[in-house]
Amino acid sequence: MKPDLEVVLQTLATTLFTDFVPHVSDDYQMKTMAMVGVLMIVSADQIDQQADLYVTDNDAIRSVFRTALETMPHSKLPQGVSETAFAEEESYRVSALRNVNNRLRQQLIALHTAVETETSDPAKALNKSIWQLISADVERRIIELPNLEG
Amino acid sequence: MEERIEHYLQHKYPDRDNIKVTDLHRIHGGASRQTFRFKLSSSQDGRVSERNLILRRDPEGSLIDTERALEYSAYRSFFNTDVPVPEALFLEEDLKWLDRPFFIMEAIDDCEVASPFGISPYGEVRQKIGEQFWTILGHICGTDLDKTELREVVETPELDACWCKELDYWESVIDEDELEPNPLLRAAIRHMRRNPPAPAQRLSVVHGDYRTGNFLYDGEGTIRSILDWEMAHIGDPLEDLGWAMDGLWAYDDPDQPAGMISTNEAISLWEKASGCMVDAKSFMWWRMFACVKGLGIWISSAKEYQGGDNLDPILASAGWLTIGRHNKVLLGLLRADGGAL
Repeated sequence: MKPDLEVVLQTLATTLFTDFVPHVSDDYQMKTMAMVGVLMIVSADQIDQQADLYVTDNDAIRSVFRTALETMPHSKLPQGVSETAFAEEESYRVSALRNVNNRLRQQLIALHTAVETETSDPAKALNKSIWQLISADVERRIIELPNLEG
Repeated sequence: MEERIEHYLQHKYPDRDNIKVTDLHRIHGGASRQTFRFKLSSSQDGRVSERNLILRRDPEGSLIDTERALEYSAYRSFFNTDVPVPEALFLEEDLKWLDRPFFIMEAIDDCEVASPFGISPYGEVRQKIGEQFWTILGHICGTDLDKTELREVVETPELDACWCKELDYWESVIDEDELEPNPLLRAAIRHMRRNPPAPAQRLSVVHGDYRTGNFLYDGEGTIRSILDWEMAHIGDPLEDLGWAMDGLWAYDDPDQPAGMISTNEAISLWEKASGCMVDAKSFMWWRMFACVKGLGIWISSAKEYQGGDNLDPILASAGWLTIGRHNKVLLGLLRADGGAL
């Protein structure tokens, strides 16, 4: 599909900044319009990244769930963990991936709550794995403001 | 809208004639209230007077659920004190005037507001502003609660309940408004409940949003007014200090919180003005709390925008751009406190 979605959004934002924003005299309207432009640029970037973000995160969470099943087989793990640990994506629509991600993250919170105060070695190792996952996810989800200079 | 404001002010100033509202325009930002600036001219006993005023009206949806009476009381509590605030003139909750509640206060002229997210927002006057900023915060903490109107409109917690009251509230906001689960935030809340701070050393007025970008300063670098008191309450003095030093503001320079002066200098000025001391362990808790509260606000803003309750793009921006950065600040604090591996 051409032009690319991200190109269209970026170009629309540029048009907004160059052809419209400078001619708006009301301060509130001008700043609001500029923010709309910024959000369009961010949207262009996110359209390209969102599916990858969710697939990566979903895979990482399922991997932690599988580790939990392998290393803590006798523990009572939160509901749903064993079912979702081996699941695969049924659709790659962003909305579908996001729904799966929300369910997995909810289960991850339950699992983390269950193991973080446990003192067994497998629980400590799993806790460490969960923190590695969370840390990586925090980095992935940071959205940098676009550089509008130049 | 000018005409409706004129009718209202005629009602409030029955002795004045020729009441006229001009130069009405909305001020950008501050999605918790719609803020308008206008010029009021009127005559009384043959003398014509003019005054610039600010009108803060409730929006249909906002970042923060607060009562405007609370904010109005906060302004009145500090008018003509060491804490510079504009004169609050009228609080109106009758919807017949402007469809939604509002209050009117004095406008402070010839001042600037810095962006809370800019790098080095105060440039050459950062030292002068920093000295005032942390001292004024100390004055707020040191204010005698019994001399404030605020005490009449907000709850007064016990010393050992300050942290719990605030954390309970903001966790409930997150529970209610969260559109996507946040494992980091939930882990932080659990860690904070397992490791609470010491009881507050005293009860104080907490501004609730004391930070870079929420005050007016003039070209000389003099702070002329502390703004945005809508989250004011009574609580632990360390709460505002943690919020003001949060890494989100002024691009997370750990040596220069809020983009002003060094951390040690800031704390020293605050301690001197407030008469309180900073306990490192408790302060770390309140710094983590600042992230939890901030994330609560951004989560709410995302929900407001997603649900169409408030379509101001600043809410979408808060939901997208700010949550990620605040998560990173929180993760750093949790690691430093032993709460994250």
